[in-house]
Amino acid sequence: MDWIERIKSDPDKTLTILYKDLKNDTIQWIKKEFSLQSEDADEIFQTSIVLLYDNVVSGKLTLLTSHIKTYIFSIIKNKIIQLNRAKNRISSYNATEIMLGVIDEEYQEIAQEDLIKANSSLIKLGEPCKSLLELSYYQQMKLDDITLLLGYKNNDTTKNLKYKCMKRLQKIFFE
Amino acid sequence: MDDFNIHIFETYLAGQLSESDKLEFESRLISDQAFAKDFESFKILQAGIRLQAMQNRLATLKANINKDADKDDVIKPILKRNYWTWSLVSILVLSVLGYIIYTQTLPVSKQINVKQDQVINLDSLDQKAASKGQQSETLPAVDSTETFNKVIKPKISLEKSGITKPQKQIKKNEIIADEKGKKITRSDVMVLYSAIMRDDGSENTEYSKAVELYRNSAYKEALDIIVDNVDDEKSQYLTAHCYLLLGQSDKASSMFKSFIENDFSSFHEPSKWYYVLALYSGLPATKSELIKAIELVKDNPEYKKN
Repeated sequence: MDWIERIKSDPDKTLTILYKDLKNDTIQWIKKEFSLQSEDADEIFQTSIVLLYDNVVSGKLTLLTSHIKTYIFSIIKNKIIQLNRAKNRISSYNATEIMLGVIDEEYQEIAQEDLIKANSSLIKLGEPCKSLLELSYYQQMKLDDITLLLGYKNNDTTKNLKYKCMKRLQKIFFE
Repeated sequence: MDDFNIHIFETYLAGQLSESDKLEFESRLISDQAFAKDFESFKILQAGIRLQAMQNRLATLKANINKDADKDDVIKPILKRNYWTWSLVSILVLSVLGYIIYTQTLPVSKQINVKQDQVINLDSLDQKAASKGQQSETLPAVDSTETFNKVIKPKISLEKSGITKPQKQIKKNEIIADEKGKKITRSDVMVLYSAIMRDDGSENTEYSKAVELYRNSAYKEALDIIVDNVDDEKSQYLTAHCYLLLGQSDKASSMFKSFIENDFSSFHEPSKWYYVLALYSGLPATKSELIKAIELVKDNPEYKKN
């Protein structure tokens, strides 16, 4: 099973293994290449692993044509370091800031304040809606699988609940 | 944002609209401001969901890293012990396992002898302790013959005769609550199993204990354990069922009604049927509410079977 399949089938375990296997080399490289402290280097490395996961889930990464380490290095270099330097955020290597920057770059029509507000609305929304919306809209899981996973009666129940959750989220967002 | 719009937004963003529908969608974005605003907020919320998912993934990664870091500190010293020590430990473990397997696969008569030898006569232990001048504990006297007659012998008889205990059949029409002539049968509440019995009781929680008591028809005892767990939805649902089965229909109907009023509850749907049952139990006082409640379930084919 290749890395992409492993990330899809068991992301928790696979991402942890990746982190442990590549930690020493990657952090040394970041510190040397970008003259950063260990803590910043570690935060960047952890975030790059999450961005790798995001690329797999969103379908942007379907086939690895190089070693996974090379791919992670390219994420770090192109997505994190360059992005932060372009926006003069050299000192800001906080994970949330990095993720905001990446999403901001892709959804250029969305203001960052709206993104932050949507994120906090989702936290206020709570369960079971948070999980249902993530499975449906982020992981693009099929309705059958969500119904089974969350233990709902049937697909219609799941779909109706999903729509109710989305409407409730919109209401919280506009409050 | 209505359900149809959400569906059409999803389909458009997934690139699954036909060319003509796509053109119609895009021209509507220009002509219909409310529609365009809904679409914009849908995209913002989707981006928010993505950010939240990534943050959750990072939090999980950090938690796993810290958990593994703690484990590594404990494991490493053990792994550094030498090869010969581990070999000796492995041989001992295998010997013990081999002995256990050997004794378990002995014919029944030989097992009895082994078990009889293992039954300890505590009276004799007490005497030995007393003779050594030790304070003996007041333990119940156990005689090996008595243990054999009560425990081992019946099991052997059963095994030899080949008779197995008959399974207790669950009679679905068995009446389990009969309050003022209103009967509630076992089949009425069997659905509870699918809704809340996912808990296999392996966790040692109050809810698990209450489920076990409920399964053994000890509804009052189950209620005593979980009635105050107001923050746990499963406990509240089980509480409502216990009230129903104890004939406290007013409390049961009030609780089921609260589940019905919460669209996001996991028990929203099944509560409709039990709300009707609880109101039926409360007749004639609850007649008008019952008539309204029947509207909730009358068109559901699953409830028509009952």
